[in-house]
Amino acid sequence: MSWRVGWGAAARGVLAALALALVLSPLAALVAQAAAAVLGGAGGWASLAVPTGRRATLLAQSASLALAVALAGMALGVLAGVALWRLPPRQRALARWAVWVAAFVPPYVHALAWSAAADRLQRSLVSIGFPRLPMRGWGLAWWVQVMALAPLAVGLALAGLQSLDRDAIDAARPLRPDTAVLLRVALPMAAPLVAAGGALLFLLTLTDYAVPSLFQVGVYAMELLTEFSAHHEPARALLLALPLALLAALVVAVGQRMLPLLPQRPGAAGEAWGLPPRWPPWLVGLQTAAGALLMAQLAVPLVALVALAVAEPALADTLRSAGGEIAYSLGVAAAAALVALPVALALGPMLARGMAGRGGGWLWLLAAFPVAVPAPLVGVGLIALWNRPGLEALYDSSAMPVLAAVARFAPLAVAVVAAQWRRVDPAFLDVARVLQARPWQAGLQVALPLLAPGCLAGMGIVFVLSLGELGATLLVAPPGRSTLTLRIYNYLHYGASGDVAGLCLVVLALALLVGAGTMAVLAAWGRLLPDSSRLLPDSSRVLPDGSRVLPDGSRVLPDGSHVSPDRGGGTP
Amino acid sequence: MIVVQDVARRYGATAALDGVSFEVPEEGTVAILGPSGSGKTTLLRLIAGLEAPDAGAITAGGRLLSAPGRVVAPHLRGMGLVPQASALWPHMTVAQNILFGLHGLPRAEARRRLDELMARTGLAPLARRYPHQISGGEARRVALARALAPRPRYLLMDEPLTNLDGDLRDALLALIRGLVGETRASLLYVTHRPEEAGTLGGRVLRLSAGRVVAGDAGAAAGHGRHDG
Repeated sequence: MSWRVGWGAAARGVLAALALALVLSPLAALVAQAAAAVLGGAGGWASLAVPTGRRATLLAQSASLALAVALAGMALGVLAGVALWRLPPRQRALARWAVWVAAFVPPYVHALAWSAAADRLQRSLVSIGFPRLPMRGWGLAWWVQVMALAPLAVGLALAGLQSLDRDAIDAARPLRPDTAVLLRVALPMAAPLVAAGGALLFLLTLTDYAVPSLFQVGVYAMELLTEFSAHHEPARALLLALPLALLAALVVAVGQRMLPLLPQRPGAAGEAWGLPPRWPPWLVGLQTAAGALLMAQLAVPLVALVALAVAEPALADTLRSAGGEIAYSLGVAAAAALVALPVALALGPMLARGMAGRGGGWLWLLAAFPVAVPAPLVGVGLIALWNRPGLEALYDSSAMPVLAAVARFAPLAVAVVAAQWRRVDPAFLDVARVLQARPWQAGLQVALPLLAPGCLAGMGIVFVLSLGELGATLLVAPPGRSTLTLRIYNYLHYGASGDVAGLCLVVLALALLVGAGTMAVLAAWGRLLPDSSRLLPDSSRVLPDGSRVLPDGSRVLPDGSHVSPDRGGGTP
Repeated sequence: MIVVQDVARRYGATAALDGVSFEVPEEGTVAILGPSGSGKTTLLRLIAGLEAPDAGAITAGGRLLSAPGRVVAPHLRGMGLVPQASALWPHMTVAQNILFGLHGLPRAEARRRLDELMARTGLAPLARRYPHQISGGEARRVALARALAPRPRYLLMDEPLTNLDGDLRDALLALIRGLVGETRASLLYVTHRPEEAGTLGGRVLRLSAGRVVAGDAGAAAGHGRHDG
């Protein structure tokens, strides 16, 4: 049997190495070029890597915008999450579904919609004597980013609250008022997912330049694009990106420390608060305001875009002429989602297993870091890697935008599959391994179906994010081809027109369609395949290190070994 | 005295409790015995104020606590609850778990009560440990100390010894009896193990399909622990 196990492990290792190469190769190419340039005696690299003057201001502006978006997003996430959490189960499931679907709408669609809405509001105010305010700047960029990314923060906060054990709430309510139960028990227990939402918002804002540039806010990510466009030197772009990458790496490293604290069980379907909680009016008021903002987040883009589009006489012609770009965008996004699946399957379980062991932190950093890399840098890395003699056929093909999307978003699919893997009781896999003669049979017939919801969710995320990808695609789109997002971005600089609104509505419809489809299939799958935690022995729980505690206090470690209950100095 | 009178609770078409009536005397003990799904936990949650009854009334010390359309908040009932799985809060140490219910007391008084309970339950060396660093038996003692810390008049326990082995169960049962006797709290104890119910020395009620089907007449119905 040992040769078979050896071959299996080797095959898994090769697959994981290939998957890592697919995700990390653009960055590796950049690092190699930068190292060669520095070692070759190229001057001035220190001045690039250590920002001063205008660049230091840009970096500070990027960091402050990202921090402000993350803080506002977390506050909104917690308040709206709590408001949704106390809804009856059926309404809560519907709200959760709507929130995740809304998370799929690209930020530039929000930028256009909120610009149009703000413009309309301004015109009304000016007509009654208010002074005209500039429709650009830090405040508007912040608001649009918060609105665009809020569903992620709300969805994660709600997931954290729903994962709480009802007994934990029950035990607290006889002791203290419901406000203390919420603030001292429920929120701290949901904190890892709330913080994960904040970290995600920080990274997405830090590495984005599309929304800030539309509101004429200078950010560091835009500087990377400008620098590369001016000099066409990948090594310079990488050195310039180092401060931003370090900041992002810091957040990823903190996230890596919190990841093992994430809840092991999915959201409970039942009522967390049997009897509705009694909160003071100020808390209910804040929750209501957050709920109203969340509804505005959904309604304003839709209403503003429809109002703009129906006023455009040549809308039908615009949509017809964009048919090629729509089809091309769908093709690129579908290909990226398909390529991301084997990447996620190769790395996800390894990431989940590795988190408990030595070196797990590095593995997590390697897999998650690409999410924190500014989009233009991924594009520059792909150019450095593939723009070589003999590789023209590939470099000029549609494979480049697909590779860009995979390098940027496949790590998210990896994280989703890893999270799904951690929810699977190892006992299911142990039983399958004992019963099946060949390891791959256990993988195919037991592990894969248990991982399927994570695979589907991961592919859905990659598909929709690829549909809205701009920063890297701008640099690597093959000659004569353009995605819908590129076309919209180019139009957006001319203002909020009916044409652009029509195209944005197409993106919105596609995003909502894919988001709704993914959520519907996941819901159906959930009904078909009960959550494995319900099949665990009563009262057992999973610890941060991956070991499972049995009701008698003994523990089953991730490797299957058993530790007696008295390890912690246990007396009766 | 807790008085439960004709209490009913439905979940959709399923009747979890159907016209349940009984009393828990002051400083007395009542054990509710029944199989899984008989409505034991629902009954305890109704008495704790975590759910509202569809019919009937629950009073304690002559004060109406629960009736359809009127439920006194759980923290205003003077009750302590020990859930089945201990439900210790993982982000708090053992000491912080116990101190949670002592908020509002002067710091010195809270500290004194904490030390007293920790010493009585043998938890003193574990004060700074987190729930995942202690054993199952220790977690049950922390849950008991946490519920008793505010000195409730009534203690509700939901199968607190489930999944513990024999020696551990006997020792914990003795600790429960001792502590409840010292604090003079009335005890309502839910279990599916007849021997556990019998050991407590109070009245035993049998619950089946949401109805009280039998009371243990031999256990001196309505008599408290201190009545002799």
